[in-house]
Amino acid sequence: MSDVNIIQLVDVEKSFGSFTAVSNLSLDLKQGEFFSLLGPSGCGKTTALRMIAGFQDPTRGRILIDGQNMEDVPANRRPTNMVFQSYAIFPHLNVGDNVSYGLRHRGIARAEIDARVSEALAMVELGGLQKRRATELSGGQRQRVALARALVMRPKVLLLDEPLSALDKKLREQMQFEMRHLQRSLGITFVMVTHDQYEAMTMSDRIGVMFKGRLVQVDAPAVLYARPRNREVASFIGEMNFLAAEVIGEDAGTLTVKTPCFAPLKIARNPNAVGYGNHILTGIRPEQLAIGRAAPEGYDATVEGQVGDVAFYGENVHYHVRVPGVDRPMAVSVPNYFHTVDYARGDKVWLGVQGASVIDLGSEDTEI
Amino acid sequence: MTRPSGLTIYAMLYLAFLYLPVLVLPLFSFNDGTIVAFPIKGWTLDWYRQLGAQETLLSALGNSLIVGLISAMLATSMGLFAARAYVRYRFRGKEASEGLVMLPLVVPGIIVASSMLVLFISLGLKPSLTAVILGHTFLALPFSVSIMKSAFDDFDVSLEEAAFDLGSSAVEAFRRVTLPIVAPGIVSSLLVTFTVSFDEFVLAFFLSGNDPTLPVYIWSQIRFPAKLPNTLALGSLLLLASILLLVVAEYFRRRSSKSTM
Amino acid sequence: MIRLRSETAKGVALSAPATLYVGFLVAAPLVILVTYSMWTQSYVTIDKTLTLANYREALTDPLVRLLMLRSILIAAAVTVATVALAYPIAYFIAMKAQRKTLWLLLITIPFWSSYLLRVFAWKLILGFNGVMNSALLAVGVIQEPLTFLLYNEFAVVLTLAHAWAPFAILPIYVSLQKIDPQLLEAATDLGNGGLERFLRVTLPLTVPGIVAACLIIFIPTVGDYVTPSLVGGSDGKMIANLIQVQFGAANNWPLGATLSLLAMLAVGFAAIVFVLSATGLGRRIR
Repeated sequence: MSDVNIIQLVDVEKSFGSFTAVSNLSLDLKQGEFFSLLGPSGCGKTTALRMIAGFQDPTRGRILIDGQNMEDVPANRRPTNMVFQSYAIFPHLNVGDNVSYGLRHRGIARAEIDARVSEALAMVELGGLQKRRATELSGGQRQRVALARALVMRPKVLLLDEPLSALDKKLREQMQFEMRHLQRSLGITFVMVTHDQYEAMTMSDRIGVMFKGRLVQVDAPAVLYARPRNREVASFIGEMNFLAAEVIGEDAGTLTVKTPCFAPLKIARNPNAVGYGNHILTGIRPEQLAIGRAAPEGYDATVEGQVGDVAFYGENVHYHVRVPGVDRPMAVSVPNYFHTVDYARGDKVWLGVQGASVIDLGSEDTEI
Repeated sequence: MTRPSGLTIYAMLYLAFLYLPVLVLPLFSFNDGTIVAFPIKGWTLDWYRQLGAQETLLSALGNSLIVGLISAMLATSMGLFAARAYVRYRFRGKEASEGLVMLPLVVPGIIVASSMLVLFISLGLKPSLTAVILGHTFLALPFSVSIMKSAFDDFDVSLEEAAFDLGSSAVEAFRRVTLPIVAPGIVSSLLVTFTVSFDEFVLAFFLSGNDPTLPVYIWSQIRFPAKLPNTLALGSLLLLASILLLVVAEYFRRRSSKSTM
Repeated sequence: MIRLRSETAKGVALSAPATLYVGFLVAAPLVILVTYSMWTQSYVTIDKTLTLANYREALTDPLVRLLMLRSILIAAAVTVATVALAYPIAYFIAMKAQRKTLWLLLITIPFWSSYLLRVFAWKLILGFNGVMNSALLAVGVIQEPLTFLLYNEFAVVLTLAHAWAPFAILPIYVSLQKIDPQLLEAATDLGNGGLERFLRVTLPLTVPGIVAACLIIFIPTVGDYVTPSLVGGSDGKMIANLIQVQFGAANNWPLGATLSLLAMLAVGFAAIVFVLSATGLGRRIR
């Protein structure tokens, strides 16, 4: 990854009649990064991708690719290529002709076309399948052909529209690693649209989270998880216990907050959060809470509660624990150490928390 | 096998009802007698042999072929573009336009025929094959539009976008991707619209003037009992031709929807 | 090449030839037909003074009234007969048949032959000395040829119920095909027996198909020319025969134009009444 901006979106807006699909989208993508646009369906992420590809024109704003303004550059002349959600494998052409589609009629020698096609197919582990008919491919193979067909064009940017949504879970996880590997070794910028937070987190260098046409936060996966900007982002990515908090003291990097159930905690200011006042929202990830029959030792604050629902996930166990002063039960995730944790509904338990793992979510939206 | 249900028996009887008239014509066209009734007197091919010698029949056949071919091409090309617009784009007036284009399917034949006759006469176009072609194109258009619509319906828009994305111009994408994939639909539309024109009677009856098409010729022959066996033979050949054409059209239509998975 | 950017521009441009063609051939004759209907025929020349005389003549002539009414009634009878006969077949193909595409193909094949020839075939089948009578006589079911077969309303209805069969089967089949099998399972699960399930779930869900079938059949049937001419006899003549006479033998185009327009109005009115009552009925069933 370098510091060169390969794609710049400047105040891009797209509306369809009175409906605004994307508003005020400004974003710089770095050469060689794997970037994901993440959000629920209808949030405008696909529209954003299609504007980069040139299938839709922005109503307002500019799109620059490699420093060049893309206004009036149609999709077929942009240095981008796309992997479609449906893969769009041409049914009347075989695998080889699908992959070579974009190279034909471009004055490239037949021998070179063949070489590039073999290379691209080998890259996606479909070497030698040139003659296979498009209609005979499995879902995973179609996805690979779509990748090869786009990569053979040597695009500056590869666009991927929900590329894994049509695959089953096992294959999806395998392709996540393969695509990430491919992207690293080619050094091409990948821009992927997905609604799957795990997919975005495992594959991307950075993630842009979109809601209702707005880009809400852009950060590396770990930052997004640890320092979400607000309640919306925090609840879309992973699980979160929300606690309203009163600010009772503050200095340069920290806030001292009083939550309904814990003793005052000293927590880090979140540079991403906005809006401050006497009342803010805080969040605690379920795996950051300690649980025990007695008050856990060495924690900044503890509270006694009662176990409600228990959900067994295999690798970990989720407990819903009711604590005084909080309406919703607190979700606690505990790694499954084989029988060492074993609480039943109705058990009295203690929860412990460290101030460092309580997330400041600002006061943009404090009501729960 | 289990005992056939009442519904299955009904279906068989209904099928017999549907095929009765289509089988009667060929059956009696081989009958060595001029009365169409049982028992069949004997078998002969004479009625077919005599057909080749009738000049008015041959010229009517020629007229029908010309009218059918030209109407099929006109209707299919208009239908191709219109269907693409309907499937691919959302635009104001789309529903109105779609409804209008399907109208010829439901307007009673006599009304189409009489109104076209007065229109063409007012415009100075005498009853002629040209008039019939214009009328048949009108009647065949809904068939073409619906066949082409289903061809485009099965066509995934992202295929065209993929072609575009890989550097094709709009024209090139249409030629290299869209056309090959919808080609069976086009063939199917040509065959169906040709058959619609080839079999059409009322409009041709009003508009053909001194150049009868085959159905108009047949109409003129129905009145003469002496000509009945020849008419049966001719009719049987027409039945066979229409059904063959349509089975081929159906084959292409199936292929068009299968190829897009 | 001009680059049409907006969807509207592209859509309008592509659909324009078809739309304008049909639009012109629908609108222009209408205008001319209206004009003609207000002229009058005096022997071989046309008197171009505008008058409503043709309408007065047409509306007061008992023959016109009779033929118009009969056309509508026959079309209604044909519609009911065709749909009633076709529904079980559509149901059979959609719900019971193993090889649906084969059945659909079998159903449609006869109809790709010339309509004229099929009507002609019915004339031969139903005639006094025709196929049906001679077959029944030969088998000994009857001693005298049946006379009620040809040249009456029955022959017209039978022939047209045959001619329109696929136009009834296909829309109903499509609407049956669209029914999610789980809806039927849900109805059974909620305690419906076969008949009750059919009446409360299947039938209401196929109302759109039935309405489409009725319109597709009813409208063109009112103006059918070939069938009444060949198998209708004098009792089975319909309005189209009268219109044809005006444009042909009688050579009274203004009156022909008037009758065409009146037939169009009658069909349109009947169709609207039907659609309104059908949607009302459909709502009540649910």
